[in-house]
Amino acid sequence: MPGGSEDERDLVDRAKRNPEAFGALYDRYFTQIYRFAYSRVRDQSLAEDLTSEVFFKALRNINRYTYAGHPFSSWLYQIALNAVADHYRGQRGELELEDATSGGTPSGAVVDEVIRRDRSRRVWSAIDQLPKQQRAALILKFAEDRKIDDIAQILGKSSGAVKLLLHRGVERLRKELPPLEGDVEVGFEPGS
Amino acid sequence: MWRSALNRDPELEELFASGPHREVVELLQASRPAQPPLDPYFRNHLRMKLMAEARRSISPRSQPRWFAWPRTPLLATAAAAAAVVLTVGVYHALHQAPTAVAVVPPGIGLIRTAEPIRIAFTGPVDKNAVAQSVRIEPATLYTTRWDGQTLVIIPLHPLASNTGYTVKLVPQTAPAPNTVAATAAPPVVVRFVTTPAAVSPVVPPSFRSDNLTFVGEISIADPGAVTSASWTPDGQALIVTRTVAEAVTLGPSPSAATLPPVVPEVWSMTPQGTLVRRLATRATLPAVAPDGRHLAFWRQDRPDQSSLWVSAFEDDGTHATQIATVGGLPNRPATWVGSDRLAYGDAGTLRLVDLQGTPPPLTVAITPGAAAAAINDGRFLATATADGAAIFDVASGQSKVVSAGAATTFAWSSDGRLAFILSAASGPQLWVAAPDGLKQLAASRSGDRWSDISWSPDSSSLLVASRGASTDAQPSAFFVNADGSGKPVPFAAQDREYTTPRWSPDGGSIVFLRGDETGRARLWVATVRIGELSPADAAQLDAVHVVTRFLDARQRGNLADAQADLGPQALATYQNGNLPLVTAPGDPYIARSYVFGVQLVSPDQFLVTVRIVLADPKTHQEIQFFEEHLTVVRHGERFLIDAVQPGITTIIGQGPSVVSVQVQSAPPHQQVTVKFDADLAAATVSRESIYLRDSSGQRTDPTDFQFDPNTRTVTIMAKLHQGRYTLVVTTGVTDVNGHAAAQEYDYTVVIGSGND
Repeated sequence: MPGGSEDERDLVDRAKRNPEAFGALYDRYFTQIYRFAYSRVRDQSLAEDLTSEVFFKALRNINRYTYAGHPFSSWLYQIALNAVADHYRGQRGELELEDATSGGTPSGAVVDEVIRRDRSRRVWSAIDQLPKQQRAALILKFAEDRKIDDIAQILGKSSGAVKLLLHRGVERLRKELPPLEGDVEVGFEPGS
Repeated sequence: MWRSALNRDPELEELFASGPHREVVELLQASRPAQPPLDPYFRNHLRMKLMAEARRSISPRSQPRWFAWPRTPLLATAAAAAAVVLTVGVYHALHQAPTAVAVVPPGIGLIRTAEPIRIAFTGPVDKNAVAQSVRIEPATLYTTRWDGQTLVIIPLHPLASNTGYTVKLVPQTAPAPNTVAATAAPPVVVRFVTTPAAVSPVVPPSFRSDNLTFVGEISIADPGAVTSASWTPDGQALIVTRTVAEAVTLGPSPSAATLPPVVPEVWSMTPQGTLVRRLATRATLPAVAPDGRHLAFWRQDRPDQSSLWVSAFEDDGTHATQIATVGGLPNRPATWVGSDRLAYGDAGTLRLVDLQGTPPPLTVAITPGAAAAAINDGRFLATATADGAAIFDVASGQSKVVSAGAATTFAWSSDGRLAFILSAASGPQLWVAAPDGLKQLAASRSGDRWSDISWSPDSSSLLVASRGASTDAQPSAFFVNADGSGKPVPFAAQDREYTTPRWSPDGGSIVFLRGDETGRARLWVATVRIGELSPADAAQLDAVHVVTRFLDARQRGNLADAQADLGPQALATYQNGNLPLVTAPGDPYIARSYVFGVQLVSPDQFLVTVRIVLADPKTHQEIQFFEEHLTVVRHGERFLIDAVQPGITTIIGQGPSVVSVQVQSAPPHQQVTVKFDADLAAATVSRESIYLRDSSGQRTDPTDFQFDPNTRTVTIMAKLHQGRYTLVVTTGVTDVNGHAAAQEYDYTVVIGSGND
């Protein structure tokens, strides 16, 4: 099914003529783009720069944007991806790893929660170590809930290639994630 | 079967239908990366900038005119994108020779003119050697500081607009011990382009109170970070006072008693909130000289004594000169009298002192603590005396009382009128004194307190700070027309706080303080827009819009779009091959272009000069620019480019260049404003090296000639009659490095019927 609702397409069309409509687009997509930028650079100031660059480029080029079956946000992600690539051109991927993950998990036994959180933290940290294309594909899929077709459009690849990236990324994460048993230490006996 | 229905994703189910990947996929689905830290002000700040840009670039006709002023769209939008300090490069310097990898990626955006340039290093380097290796083209005076491993290059004056800069680090000296050899590094070369400047209106706009609209406001500094702010005379920066912890060496067991004391400092700051440069330490109540070359400030020597200091604006305060001492701590900045003397209150006496500390013979008995203000050229000084508001002739010492009563605040307009506030028993009154008389503009009977008067750029209105009579009343502000017409117009939202509002010299912004919920003051900047333009400016807006669209089409290589805005004659000129409309593949391509100058020929005709910058197709470096003079004429409802004349062609990187020329009518004169890209050797800028020539080749005598090194601007006032003139910039003008332009620069000045 083609991405992008009628409402969105109408808004984009209006944004080509009406600054207020562009403001509405900004309001709609700011959080996504900022979060995506931050997930790629792990630096607040840099994420702000990149987000700013994305929206100004979008404004500059909005008349050139034509709907081609993908949501408008895919186009923004594409700009963001290029901006990140431009930034790291020459920096050879010097990323600092820092924070972990937020919860968002259902309630359960304390030990399960501890284990789950620890493994979640590890798996998201491990994503940062993946090759950049795999990392982008996994972030777009798992953090941004994008469809594979959209990811393909954003990355400039075929859907098959994106599936391969996802598969390889998950495979690599699996190998780097320690076995479940003995993964964390807890201070009581199971079943107590 | 997937474990959680909440996380069902058919694509993932298909892709990872079975096998050992399921746990990883479930983990990823069941959690999310931590929410990134987000400064809520960033979101609002960016939105405001985007909307301002969108109003300029998306639909100029449908928006209020003044701030919809069109620019070259590609440049304008990219310009605002570079809203932060530029980090332009990295040295890899750990355990290996530093490797330069710093090149601003194409498309990263344009750089704001007031921002410092940052170059980050990944390891230890010889900081002195690196700092001394900086070379900037066009020639730019600068200072440097280190923030950790980041070199911060701070131009002493904001960079020129519409200019391609090259910053090089050329290692020259031996490294310090235990640092990587800087000499082993190839030079770092960083290139960037600065933001375009707005096209100036051919007729100065009206800032009358009924023509002003509040657009919005943004906070530009953290709560408590800044305690006062004022504009530099050229309006390109803010001078702020902030308190910082003084650097002291702590003992092994720091305690409350050894915590560093907090001291005030004076800094320059961009209007967007970037702290640029420290101007003075242990300093407060700053005042910048009208010519922008010196800063005066107070230092409290001890509880019962303060001293007045003055330093070169380019200094960081370490070479300041103490020029006066008073008892206690003054309650206001010293007053500049011209750019070479200062007036300051000393109990019941207003004293004058020059920059060497020598007091001229004038002293004035004043109301203790009274305010003072000097007219722009320093000839007259207004203050409060026992007899009332008085004006003193600084040269002769003669005085004239313009109004009896207690005057509290004074401000001179650019055209020499004096506004002041009288504290009457019924409430404050705002008065304006002019050579032809005295007029009351506004009066309050509610017991308000008024202060902080700012004049609009065209002296047509004033901004006045107000505060209600009750102790918990919120500070506010209002506009009032200087001719007394109309009623005072509240500034912005009446339910918000506006403390010490100060109007920017260009009239587009107002800086103020506002307390937040914690009681700390936060610095804000509000944007003000002109509602209605004059017919000439409205027509100019449309004409320039056509030209920028034309330039954009050429830059995109879209021949059809470019031709759509051409009349038959101009089209023929381009088609006969003398002028290229678009560039051929493999040739230098149009990297950027902009409107260089606009002149009003008649109400329906403009001469628009454009500059087109070409870049090498292989290196993408800007190598050359050429100009075209476009005659843009109204045909019915639209403007067309009727004729085109080729202008100069210049190789980039050969001495200083002119970046814009503005011709404005200032009856009975015309004012020609010439801006340069490089810091110029002041001694080479004169009536002999830059002049106007009439059509017979005769030089015209300017009635005034001014050079402002801070803005790299020459302003020529002359009485010009209808006809054509040539602005000539000779090769006698050199930059601060002694380099002259390779060729003379000529620019056609047209004085048409529209200039009358």
